[in-house]
Amino acid sequence: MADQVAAPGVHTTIDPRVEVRLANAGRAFRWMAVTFAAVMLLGLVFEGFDSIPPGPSLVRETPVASAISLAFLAIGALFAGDIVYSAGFGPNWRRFGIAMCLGCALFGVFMTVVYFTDRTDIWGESLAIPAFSVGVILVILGFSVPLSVSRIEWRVVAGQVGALLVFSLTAVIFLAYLYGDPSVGLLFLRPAISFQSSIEAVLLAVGILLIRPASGLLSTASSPGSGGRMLRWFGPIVLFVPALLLFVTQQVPSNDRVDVLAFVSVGLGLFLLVLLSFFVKALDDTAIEAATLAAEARRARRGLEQEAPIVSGMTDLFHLVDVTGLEGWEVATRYRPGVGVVAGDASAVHRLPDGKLGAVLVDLTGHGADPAVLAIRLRDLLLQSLVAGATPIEAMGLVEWLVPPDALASAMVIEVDPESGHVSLCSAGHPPAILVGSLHVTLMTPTGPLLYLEHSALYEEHTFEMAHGDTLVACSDGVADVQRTRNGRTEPELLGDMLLAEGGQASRTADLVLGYADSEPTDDQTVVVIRRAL
Amino acid sequence: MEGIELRSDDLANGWVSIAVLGEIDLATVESLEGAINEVFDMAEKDLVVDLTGSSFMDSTGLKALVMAHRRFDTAGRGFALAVSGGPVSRLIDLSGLSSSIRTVESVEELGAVGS
Repeated sequence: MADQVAAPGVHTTIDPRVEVRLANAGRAFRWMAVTFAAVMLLGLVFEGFDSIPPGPSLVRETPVASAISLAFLAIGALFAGDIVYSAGFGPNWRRFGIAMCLGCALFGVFMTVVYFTDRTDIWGESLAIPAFSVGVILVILGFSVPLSVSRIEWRVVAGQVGALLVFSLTAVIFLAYLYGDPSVGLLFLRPAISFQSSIEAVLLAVGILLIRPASGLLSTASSPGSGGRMLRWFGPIVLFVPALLLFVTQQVPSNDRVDVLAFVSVGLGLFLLVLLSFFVKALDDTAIEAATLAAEARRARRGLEQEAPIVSGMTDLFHLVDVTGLEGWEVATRYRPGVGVVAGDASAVHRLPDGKLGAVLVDLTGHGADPAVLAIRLRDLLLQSLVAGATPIEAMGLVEWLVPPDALASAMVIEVDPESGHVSLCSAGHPPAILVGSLHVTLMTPTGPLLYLEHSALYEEHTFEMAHGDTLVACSDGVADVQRTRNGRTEPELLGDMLLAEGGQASRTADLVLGYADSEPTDDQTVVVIRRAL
Repeated sequence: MEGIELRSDDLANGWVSIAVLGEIDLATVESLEGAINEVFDMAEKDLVVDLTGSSFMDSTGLKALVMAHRRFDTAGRGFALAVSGGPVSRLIDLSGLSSSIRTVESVEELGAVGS
């Protein structure tokens, strides 16, 4: 499904089906390596060991030394590698396999040291005991196995490069044997390894290379993206560059020139392969990231199409206004939701049965559906209390008990008598309401603590008269916060100054207040303006 | 949005102070809650949150302090806020926190007197 594109990353760019196929292939190669090593050993048994002298010469006698050591390496790689994908082996078997491989690597070091100690035959063409060459292969592959099973990316890459190096060297020798010119092996590993050893090394190298197909260089090669396809096409060509060059140069034999070309071709082939891997990996990551972003964008668009009407409807629920029949007064409300969040602001301005005007603002701490729903609930309970005839103080006292212990809310309840202009205002830790008169501004500070901050809190209330032309502004802390100051004056004070100078009708005042606030808020912004007309 | 820096200090008489430098908001409140939890896990220790170096605190910070106070109070352990004027002090006064949570002007006040 197009929407389920994996996120970019070394371990996630691979198609699981491709990974399984490659892992199975790697396991098959490792089993083949073990089987072939067994065949080599059986061949030695049937040929007999009588002709092989004991002691250090064992190291020098390639058929025995390579058969035994490569067999150990194959078994080690089998245990260390297969545990990564098979639950049938316990972690101790994995450690056992790694230990075997490291042991083989050390044995390889020993072989090469012994060989170098006796320098007489280092580059001797006549030498038929290529301990040095087998030693090199043991060292490289012996360290490649524990590196390849590591969870650290650079180690996996190093292990795979080692396996590639051995593959490239021994595959050429293997092909040369098939081509009918065993001396070609001398160009790559001097002295050359035997035909059997070249087969064993190729099997092992491929088996080790495919231990972790979803990591390292292979993460790109096995990726379903365009970079993966590119590498799968061109990788084998680059990998066989040494063999192709060798084939070409063998058509025109030229001693030393051939040697140089052969060695350079191996290095060049590997270099190109690694370069190609990194290049297509970058390409792949970009392509997959783009696909992921596109999928996310599609999901977001669908979500918006599906949810926008619901959100819009919810917004209307958060802020109720019904002042039908109210004469001599203006009411305006504004609401701007926090960017990317649903916060806990809710408000209502409503006519009461006794003809008064009730206004309620609630601000729940937190973001998300829970505080939003609780805010609506508290707002309605406060309003219902007013409808039932409670005063703002009584309403606050009733509702306080209904706030859950893990919630924190500020609230403001206002009751206005339209006839007399008498106002009662109770504020539970809410930002100050602003009373804008014709000549001065008054901030109505809270008359009690936040709801449920303490049990049975005693609330007080402001009572005052609004003259014709006076405006009462109540807003949430998303609009004006007492902590923000400029020139020594808090935001509510600054807002009051502005409204005194520029205020007018309720709707204009509401627009001014919302314009004063941050246009991309992280919190909800609610404004309620009540004005006694002139 | 600014970051937050928290400094914890073991006062002499069983109080631990957490000094908050920077703004406490939705993005940083988790760090503060983590530091408070660490002190709560230290049995028998009382906590004073030093807000004298904090330049701003939103309602999520307020809630974190209220919830922490309830936990310490329920466990019979001391909890206090150190505020001395400034923006956060205004919020503490406005919200009524100072009526339910012990406030001091500086942590030294607690260090000298104890709970």
